[in-house]
Amino acid sequence: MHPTVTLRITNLKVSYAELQALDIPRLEISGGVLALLGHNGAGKSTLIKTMLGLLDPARGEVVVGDSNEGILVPERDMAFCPENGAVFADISVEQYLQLWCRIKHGDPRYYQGAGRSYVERLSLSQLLHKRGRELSKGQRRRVQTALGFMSDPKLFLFDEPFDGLDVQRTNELMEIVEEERSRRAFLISSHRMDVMERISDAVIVLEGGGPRSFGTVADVCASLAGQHQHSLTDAMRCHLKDIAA
Amino acid sequence: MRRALHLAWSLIQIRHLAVSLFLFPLLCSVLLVVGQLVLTTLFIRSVAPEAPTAEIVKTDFNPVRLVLYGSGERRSHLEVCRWIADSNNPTREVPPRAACAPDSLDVSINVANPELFDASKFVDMFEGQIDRLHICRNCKPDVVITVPESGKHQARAASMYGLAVMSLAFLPKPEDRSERVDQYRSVREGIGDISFYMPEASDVVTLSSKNGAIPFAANIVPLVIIALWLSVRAHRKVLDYFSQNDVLLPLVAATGKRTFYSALWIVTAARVGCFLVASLPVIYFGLVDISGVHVFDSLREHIPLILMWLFALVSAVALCTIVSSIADLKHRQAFRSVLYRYVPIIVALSGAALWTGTFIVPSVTMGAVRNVITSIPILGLAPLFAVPVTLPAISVVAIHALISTVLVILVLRNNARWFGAHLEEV
Repeated sequence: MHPTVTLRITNLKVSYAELQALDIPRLEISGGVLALLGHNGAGKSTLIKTMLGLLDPARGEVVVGDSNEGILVPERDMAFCPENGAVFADISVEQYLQLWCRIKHGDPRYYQGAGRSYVERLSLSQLLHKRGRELSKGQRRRVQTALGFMSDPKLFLFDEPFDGLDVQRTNELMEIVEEERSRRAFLISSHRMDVMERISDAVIVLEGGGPRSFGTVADVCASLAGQHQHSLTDAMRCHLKDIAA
Repeated sequence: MRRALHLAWSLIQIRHLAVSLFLFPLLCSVLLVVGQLVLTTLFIRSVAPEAPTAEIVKTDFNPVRLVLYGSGERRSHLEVCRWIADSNNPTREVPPRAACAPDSLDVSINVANPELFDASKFVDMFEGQIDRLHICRNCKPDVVITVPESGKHQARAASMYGLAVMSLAFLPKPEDRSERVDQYRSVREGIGDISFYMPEASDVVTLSSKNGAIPFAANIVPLVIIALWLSVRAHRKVLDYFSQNDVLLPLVAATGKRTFYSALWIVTAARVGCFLVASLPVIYFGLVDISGVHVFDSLREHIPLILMWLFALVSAVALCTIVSSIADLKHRQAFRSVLYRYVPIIVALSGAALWTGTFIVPSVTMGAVRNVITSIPILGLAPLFAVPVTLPAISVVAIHALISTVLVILVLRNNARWFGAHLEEV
C-alpha cells in the first residue's frame, strides 16, 4: 500500500498585486503521484508555492492531508525542488549538502549515512567538490532532488523536474519516483504529458489560474477530449485544438 | 525559537556569508567610530581656551558684520553707556543719554554697580565690533554678560544675531600670534560660559565647550545610524546572498517562512550586537579621555530626557532606514519607488532648514514651531539629533518616539505581504 496525500482546496484566491494568479473555488483530489499540468502561466508554480506557505492566499485555503488523516506541515512534511534546480552557487555541493543536513537533521554528516543512497543513486559523488556555479542545469536538478529526498518528506513537490533532462536521465528519475512512491507521495508539475501519464495516478489540469479538470488520468482524458481518447497527450492535443477552434 | 536559533547558527557557519556579514563591515564601522572620536578631539581642542591656535583672516572686513550691520568694515565708535537710576523712579534704570537707546545688536554687562564697574576689558573686547556697550543692572539686549561679584561670568544670547555678535569678540586684533593667544584667553574669561535663549527648552541651553552634550550627541547619533545601517544591510545581505545563490526559495520552504525570518533577525541582532560591543567601550573611554568627566556631568541632570531621546533616536532612524530599504527593494518592481527612496532625506533636510529658520526670529511662537517640528518623525530628525544640546520638553521627544514607533510597525506590517509575494524576486 503506497502512501497517498489528499489535496483539498476551498475558495482559493492568490494574486500578485493586481494580477490574479489562482482562483480555485473547490478541488479535492487524492493520490500517490499527483500530476499538475497546464500551460505556462496556468498557475502551477503558484499553487505549489501556496501549498508550501511561501505565498499567502488572499482568500481561502489549501490543506494537504496524508492517508492517516493528518495534516501535513510544509517545512516538516514537504520537500520542494524548484523549477531551476536551485543549488548554492558560492559553495561546494558537499558544503551545501552539509548545510542542508544541519538545517533539516541537525547533523551535517547525515548525507554520508542515511542520505548516502541518494548521493549514489543520483550520481553525485563526482560532483561533491564542485561549486554550485560549475554545475549544469541537469546536475543542479539532481543535487536539489537528492536534498529533497534527504529531507525525508511525506510529500515531495517537484516543479518541472523533467525539463532539460535527456532520455536517460528522464528514465532514471522516473525509476526513482517509482521506487520512492512506496515511502512518500509526489506532486509533480510538468509539461511532459507522456511521462506524467506513465507515473501519475491522479491529475490536475490548470488553465488561466483555475482548474480545467481533475481526477484520474482516464477521467481527465474524458473530460478534456471525450471517451474515445486513450492518452493524456492526445487528450491535451485535442483540447488545444478545441481552444484554437 | 530553538529552530530559528539553530538555523541562524547554521547560516553564520557559511564562511562567505560570515565574512561579508561580520568581519568587513565591523572593521569599517569601528574605524568610523575611531575617526569620529578623533574629529571630536580636534573639535574640542580647537574651541578649548588652552589651545587657541585657529588662524583667523583679516580683521578689517568681516562677513558677520556685513550680515549684522550691512557693512563688513569695523564699527567706527563704541559708545559705552553706564545706565543711571531714573530721577522719577530710583528703582528703575535708564540709559544716560539719547545715543544710548538700546538696540538688539548691543551688548550689555549686567553688574551690581554700573557706575563703578571697570569695563575696560569689555571695551577692548568689543571695540570696532559693536555700536553700544551697556553697563547696567538689568537691561537685556540680545547679548547679556552677567558679571557676578565673585564666580564665573555667564553670557546669554537671546537669538542667532546675539550669538553672531558674541562671536565678533573673538576676532583677533593683535598681529603677534602669542598675543592672540592671550587675547583669546582674556575673551573666554570675560565672556564665561555661553548659553543660548530658547523659550521652549526645559533648561538653560549651554554652548560652552565644557558642556559634554555636544560631543555626546555627536558620537551617539552616528553610532545609532551605523547600528541601524548595519541591521538593514544585514537583512538585505542575507536575503540577497541566498537569492543570488539561487537558494532562497528552497531554504525558506525547507525551514518555514517564520523560522527563516526569525533566523534573519537573530543574525541581524548578532551583527549589530558585535558592532556595539566593539564600539561602545571605545566611545565611552574616548569621550571620557578627551573631554574629562564633564561629558556626563551635564547629562546626568537630564537622564529621563536622554533615555527618551535614545528611544526616539532609534525609532526615528529605524523608520527612515526601513522606508529607504523597502523603497530600495521595491525599486525592482516599480520605477516610481526611486523617488520614494529619497523622500526621507528630502523631508529631513527640509525639516532641518525650517527648524534652523525659526532661530532668525527670536520669539515664544517660534519656540512652539520648533517643538512641533521636533515632534514630527523624519521632518524633525535634525532637531532630534540636537536634543541633548537644545533640551526641549520630554513630552516633545516622547511624541516623536511614539509616532515613529507606530509608523515603523505600520510600514513593516504593510510591506510583509509584499515581501511574501515577491520573495523570489528579492
